[in-house]
Formats: sequence, structure tokens, C-alpha cells
Amino acid sequence: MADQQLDVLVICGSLRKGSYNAALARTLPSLAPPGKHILSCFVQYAPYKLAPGLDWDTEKEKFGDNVVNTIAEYAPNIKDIILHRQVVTPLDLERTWGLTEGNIFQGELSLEQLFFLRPVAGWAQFRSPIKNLYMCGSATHPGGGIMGAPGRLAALEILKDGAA
Amino acid sequence: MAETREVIIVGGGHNGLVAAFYLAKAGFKPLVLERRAQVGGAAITEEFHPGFRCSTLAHNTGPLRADVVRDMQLEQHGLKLTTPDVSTVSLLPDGRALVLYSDAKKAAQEIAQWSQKDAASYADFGAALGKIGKVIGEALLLTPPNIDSPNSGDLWGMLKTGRSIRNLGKKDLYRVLRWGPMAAADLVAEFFDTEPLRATIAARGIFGTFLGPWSAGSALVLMLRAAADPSPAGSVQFPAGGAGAITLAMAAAAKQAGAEIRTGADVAEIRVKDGVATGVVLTSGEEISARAVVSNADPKRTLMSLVDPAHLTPDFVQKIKNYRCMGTVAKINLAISALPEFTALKAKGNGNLLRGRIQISPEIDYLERAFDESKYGNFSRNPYIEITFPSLSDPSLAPAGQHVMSIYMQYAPYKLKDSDWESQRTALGETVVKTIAQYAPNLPRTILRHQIITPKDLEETYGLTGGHIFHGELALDQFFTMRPLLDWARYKTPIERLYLCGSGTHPGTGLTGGSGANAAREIAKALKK
Repeated sequence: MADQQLDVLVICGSLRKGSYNAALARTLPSLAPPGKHILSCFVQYAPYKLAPGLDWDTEKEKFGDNVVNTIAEYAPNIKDIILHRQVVTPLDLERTWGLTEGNIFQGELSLEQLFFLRPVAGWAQFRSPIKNLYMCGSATHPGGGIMGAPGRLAALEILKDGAA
Repeated sequence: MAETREVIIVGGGHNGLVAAFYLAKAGFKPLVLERRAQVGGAAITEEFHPGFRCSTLAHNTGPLRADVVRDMQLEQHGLKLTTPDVSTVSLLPDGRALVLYSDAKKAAQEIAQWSQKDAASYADFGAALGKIGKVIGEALLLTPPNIDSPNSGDLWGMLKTGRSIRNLGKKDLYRVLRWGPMAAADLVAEFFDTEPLRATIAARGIFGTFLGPWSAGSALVLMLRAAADPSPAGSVQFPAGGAGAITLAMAAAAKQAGAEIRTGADVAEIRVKDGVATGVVLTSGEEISARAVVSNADPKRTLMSLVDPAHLTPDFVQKIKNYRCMGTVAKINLAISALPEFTALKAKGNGNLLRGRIQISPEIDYLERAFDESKYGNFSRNPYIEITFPSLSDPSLAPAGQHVMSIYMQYAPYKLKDSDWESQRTALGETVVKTIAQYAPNLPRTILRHQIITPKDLEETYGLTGGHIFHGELALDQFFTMRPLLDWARYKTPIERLYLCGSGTHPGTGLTGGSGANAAREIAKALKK
């Protein structure tokens, strides 16, 4: 019984990531009290811009309910075992975590914004039009998830410039 | 004893006729075999109601490539093209209309009534399309290079195009690199604020394709079309006598150059012996052998049906099976007793505004929703529509005072879910008339006859596999060195002496003659060796 209890259900709505991707945090037991668990799920699609008349602050909990209802179709006990739910909307991603327009990759990963076009043509080498201002985030080549490549490549370029 | 010919061209569509002309000029006496009673393929004019003749399928030129028009002397062979003052009228459900004129300045003046900023951007966008289009246009003239081992001609062509691209300057160079994979909706939003203007221009990137304005790569289609015609929304050019007049002039030019054309000659099979094309067999049983066979049919029809696939490697067959060729366009032709009275045009005077192209593409979301339905196997209930009145540029196409109305309807997916086109034909026609009637309430009362051409008809009657009007999807993965397939983009096929010259080869797109002219150049070279 206790084993089935979820301490926190984190629902993170983001624009670009695999659909309902629920994973029980069994690998790191220290994240939850003994026997309890955390369920974290990425939810797609949750567009940053909602249709006219709708905003994320009023839609937030409805969105959370919708996700729980969807999971319940596959795991009927989910509703009974939730102790707390955290819903992170694209607007929260922007306000709290500084991701402009809630894009988790700091900008769409599409052909016209990749490689020598990331983030924009002419400024894909971690430098910016402002001297001594560099970029090292996911919005620079190669972008993507948690891998550190943009940071490393940016550091190499910055060292080349000898900016210290 | 079967007769032997130098070159047989299977199919007398516009590209087949263009190829026939150039091959005749090069000294090979080509024999064009056309299955139907008249040449022209998708560029034909037919009587569909007593006294009413319409451009049955295509109703506008691509436009035709200037060198093709010049070399074939199409004007001397009777082609008379007119460019109306108005190019596009885009209708809005609220009773307004955005009018674009062929003259860029006049178009900008009209757009200024919607947005001063957009009027300025319209000129910028047109100029950028012109510059970029010129460079892409150079690539469209090329035979795609051999990627594995480029020859000196390939290198020269690439070098020349490469230099032209560099000469564009930084700003337009970045645009060329960036725009292709974009969604047309994103691209137009960078230039314009006015929604109907955005949608009307973006529509050019989805025409004839299985793409919505938000699909990645729809900007490529827009750029390809702009390469032939840099006017932002696309210009209009109507031949007197309808689209069939273009191919009649082409046939006359090809004949004069030395080609022979036989209609009612339905090729059942392209004969192959030991990996070499040796001729054709007609459905009548007649055999004609030839030194080379050139197919104007689409790649799938040519290589999966006219040729016995047993002559191809399984790997190649798999690739050609995966060639994307699912049409999305239906064609409706109406014989009408009077011109429709468009509510939005009453104040502006209906008459002259109907001489261009009339579009129902009021907003990006409208187009995307129309596309959505096709993804799930339904035709659009609120379709994207393009209308022309061929009888306004040539009154002889209909009895005095009456007209023919030519309508492209999109999206009509070739594959319907849980249904078939024969049972949906009437519903399709009703949907189109009902949609237009929202903008011109008198239309239903004026209709004397409907001709409804579904994607299935495009396949069965006009030989377009999957009902695809471009002989295969225009997309980054089926373009240039990959049209129709990577390694087979040079008009040759794995069957020796079997060549392709249709829209399924580079550069493809509409009624331009580009594929036929490029193919003839390569075929003549190969046969002279």
C-alpha cells in the first residue's frame, strides 16, 4: 500500500518533448520518504500561446487534471495515491526558470535554427554583436538537452578570444 | 516484323512534348505515344458541356520557362498568353477582399490600405524572392550533379551556382540557407502583419503538396515556385484557348522540328532485355522497338508498372515504393449561365477583378485546418480554393454571356479513410460549391454542369499516380539531387536506355517545361556517345 504512494507528482508542460512520459523515481530513493515515490512527466503539446481568452494561470490546474485523467486510463489507481501535485506550465518555465516562451531548448530545434544557423545566421560561434558578450546555452550549437556541449564549445571559443 | 524507332517518348504531356522538340532538334526523330485522344497530359482544354470548354486540369502556367517558349517559338505556333491587371483576389468571410495586382507598385498601394508597413515589406519580399529566385533558377536549369563522382560539367555547374550564391551578399545568402526548411507560415510572418496577405502568399507553398502552411519545408515549395516567378503571391498568365493551347503549340513545334506524334496509342509495357530498354508494347498488341525509351509518365508508373519490376533490384524497388506521391488536389469545373457575384467585390466592381485568380485562403489557421482533415483521410470541409474564369480571357470557351469556372480544391487526399472517391464525388462537389457560395450567394443558381475530378480520376483518366499533380511530392528529400531518387536524379534509370522526362525529375513543379528540356539535353548527350 505504502509502496504505491506518490509523494509528489510533477507535471511539466512543455512544447517540445515526447508525449506522456511518466517515470517513477525508483532509482534515487532519497528523493522521497521510504516507500513513497515521485512521478515526473513531460507533457506535450502545451503551447506557450493559448487561444484568445485563455491563459495559463487559469488553465494550469485543469491541465493538471487532464494529465492525471489520461494517466488514469492506463493506471487506474493513480488518483488515489497522489499526495501532492506540482504543475509547471510553459509560462512557469518562462517566469520561474527564465526559458523564454517556455521553450525547453532555448529555441526550436529545426533545420533553419541548427548548426551555423543557431541561434541566427552570422552569430553561430557563441559570440554576439556586442563585443565581450558570449552565449553558452542550449540556444547555441549543438543545443539539445542536458549534455554540456554548447557550454564546452562556447568556453573554447571564449578562451580563443582571450577574454579574461 | 516490328518497326524500329530511334527514340520513343511515352506520354504526350507538356514535358514529353518539350523533350520531343529538343530531341528532334538534336536529330533523333522521336515518336511520341499518347494514350488519350489528344496530347497535353495535364495541360488540356476539353468540352465538358455542349458549348463549354475549360482548362480541364491546370489553368495557369508555371510560368513557362522563357528559353522553352523562345526555342519552341510557341507564339509563332499559336500560343497567346495574357497577363491580367489583377493577379489575385483573396476573399475574406467578413465581406472584405484583398486585391493583389500584377504590377508591384499597384499591389503595394492596395496593401497600404491594410498596413503601411506591409506595403513596404511586400516590395522587400518581392525583391528578395527575385534575387534568391534567380540563383535557384540557375540550379533549376542544371542537371543535378552526380554526387559520388561529379564530372567536369557537374563541377562547373556547381561552381557557377556556388558563385552566384556567394554573390548574393550576406543577407540574401543567409536567407537562401535558412528559408528552405522553414514553414511558409513562419516565413510570411517575418514580413507581414496582415493575416489575409500572409495566408495568400503562404498558400503558394502548399499548392499541390501534402503540406500545411505550418509544415516544415513549405517555404521550399514557395521558393521553388518563386524561382520561376518572383511575384510574392505568384503571377497569372492565361493562354487563349485554355491550358490546352500551350500543349497544342508545343505539339506543333515538336512536329515541325521532326517529331512524330501518335494519339490513342496506349503503352502497356516498356520492353526490357538484359537490363536494356528495347521498345514498347501497346495495349493493341502492337510492338515498336527503339534505341531508347523516354518516359513522360511519373516515376512510379514508369518503373513499377510500365517496366516489369523484375528487371530492377529489390533495393531500388523498395526506394521507388517509398517515393512519396499522394495527391491532395481535386479539380472542379463549372459551366455557368452568369458570373458569380462576389459580395466582397460589389463595391469595387466585380468584372475586371475576376480576370485573375480568386483565392479562398483567408487566414493561415484556415489553411492549416483544411490540411488537418486530409492527414486523417478526409477531404477538407472548408477547403483552400483557387478559382479562375478561362472564358474571361477567351470568351470563345463558352456561349455568349455564359462562362466556365475552373476551380482547384485542396485538400482532397488520394486515400480516404473508410471511404472511396466514387462515393464521395458528389459530396466533394457540394462542399466546393457551398464554400464558394458563402462568398458569392448566386453561384448555385447559375450552374449548368459540374465536372468533378477527384484524385482517383487524376490517376485513372490522366495517369497521375496517387493523383499527384507534380508526379511526386516536392520536398527537401525529393528535390534536386534526390528527384526522384538519390543516385537517379539525372533523367537516367537503372534500365539502360530508359529515361525519365516528367515532373518527377528535377526541377519538377508546374507547367514550366523545365524537366522536359533538361532531360532532352542529357538524353541527347547520352545517345550521341
